[in-house]
Amino acid sequence: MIHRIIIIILLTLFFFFNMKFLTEREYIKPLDELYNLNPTTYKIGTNLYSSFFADKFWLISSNVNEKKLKKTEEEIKKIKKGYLILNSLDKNFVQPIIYAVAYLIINQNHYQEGMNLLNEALKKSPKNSKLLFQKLIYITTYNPKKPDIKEVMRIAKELYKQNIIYIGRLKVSDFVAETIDYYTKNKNSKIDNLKRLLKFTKNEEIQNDIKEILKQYEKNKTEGDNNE
Amino acid sequence: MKNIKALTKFLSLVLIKQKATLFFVLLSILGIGISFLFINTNIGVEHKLFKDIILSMNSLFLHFISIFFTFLILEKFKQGSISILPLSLNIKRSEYTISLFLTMIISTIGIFLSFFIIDAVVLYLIEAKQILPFLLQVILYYLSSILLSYIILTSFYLLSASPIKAIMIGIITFIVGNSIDELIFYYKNVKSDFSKQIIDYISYLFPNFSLFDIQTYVVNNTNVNFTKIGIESSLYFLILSIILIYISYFKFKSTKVIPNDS
Repeated sequence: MIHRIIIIILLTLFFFFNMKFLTEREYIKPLDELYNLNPTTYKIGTNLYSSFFADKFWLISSNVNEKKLKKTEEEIKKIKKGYLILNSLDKNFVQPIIYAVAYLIINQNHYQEGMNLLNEALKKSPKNSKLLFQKLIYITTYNPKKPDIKEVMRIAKELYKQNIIYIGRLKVSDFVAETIDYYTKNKNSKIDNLKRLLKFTKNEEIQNDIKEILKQYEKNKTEGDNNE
Repeated sequence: MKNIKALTKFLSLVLIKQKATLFFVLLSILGIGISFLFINTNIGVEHKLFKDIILSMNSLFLHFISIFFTFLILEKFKQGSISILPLSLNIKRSEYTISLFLTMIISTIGIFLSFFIIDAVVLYLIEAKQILPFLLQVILYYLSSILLSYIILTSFYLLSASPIKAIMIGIITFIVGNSIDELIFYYKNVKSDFSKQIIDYISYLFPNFSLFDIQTYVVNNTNVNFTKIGIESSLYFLILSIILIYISYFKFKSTKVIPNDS
């Protein structure tokens, strides 16, 4: 009888302790301690379930990062490390990387950190069209310095080879073609675009305007060729 | 041939009659039921979380049951109830080893097929993309689970150790073999030549289990040549299993089987 009472008391104590710890625990904070490990150890530790753990990591971390608007450098390093871990867990799960890079470059103005993260992700899947397209956009538009033309051309040609028209709802093919035209200074690009516009317009007044502009461009082009 | 057939039938019936078999099938169905809670959770890729949960559940149960069955077989072997069989029934040792290895396939095929059919029906009903690669991944997990049990059996033959030690060796080789690809990638980029060489040698020594893991490609709907992967990994499985059967046969040939009194 005494033993039973002792067991019941112990169980109730256990129950209340459990309740206390469960209610007082913050679910997000313990993740911070995990950032000190190497990303490869996560892959080895989770083994067959790495892809599932990547989902869990992504679901938690997306909530963490939207709390503050401006972050300190340490916090930004932590974010980068967290997403590197996610990338090592599931290398083809690129959506979180795209999100993190956009967050670092556009929201936090940390161009270099964002590009480092993107390059690390590209090391694992070098021909991933979504990541390559992101890199092309950030190099050409958000770069504080002048972009390296060879790098831009390499990415654009790789994307062109893969013959991708749409990524999600974005039309990629035109953007890539235009960047190639812009960096190789192809004079035909503007004329081609205007001709394409002519096909789609039904209003006659606008058609005539476009035709006039086209004539001017073609004149300029022939003069330019003669001068060269 | 007749002996092999009869022995495998006998041994696999011993295993299938365990209550654990039904228990595992029921657990996996429960797991699929739980994963339906997350069917509408959007994390960037359609049905990713759902597929992830089902696949990790399947792989967990397949590997677990193969380890469990090998443990049962080895326990019976150790006790002497099975090891007397080749002596008493006048069966050749080669036939005995082959039938022991075949039992691991036959006894787990029921569970594998139940997983396979349930997954196929569920994915067809929710109209998910890439159903065939998904089913290929389930098959590959089945192959890897059988390979794991083969490694445990061979290590038991080679070291003539206790079943638990053999299982520990099997699990360690499984963990190392599963992370070989990741280690090679890491040391290619970061570390020195010396450590790279060591990793290379490890990758030659251990069976490469990461060949059977294509979950990232399946779940993220990436375009990879799945037929090539399937053919390569099944060939790898065949060659490795034949090597393991040969090694364990030659070891078994030279050892004396003495049944315990207990």
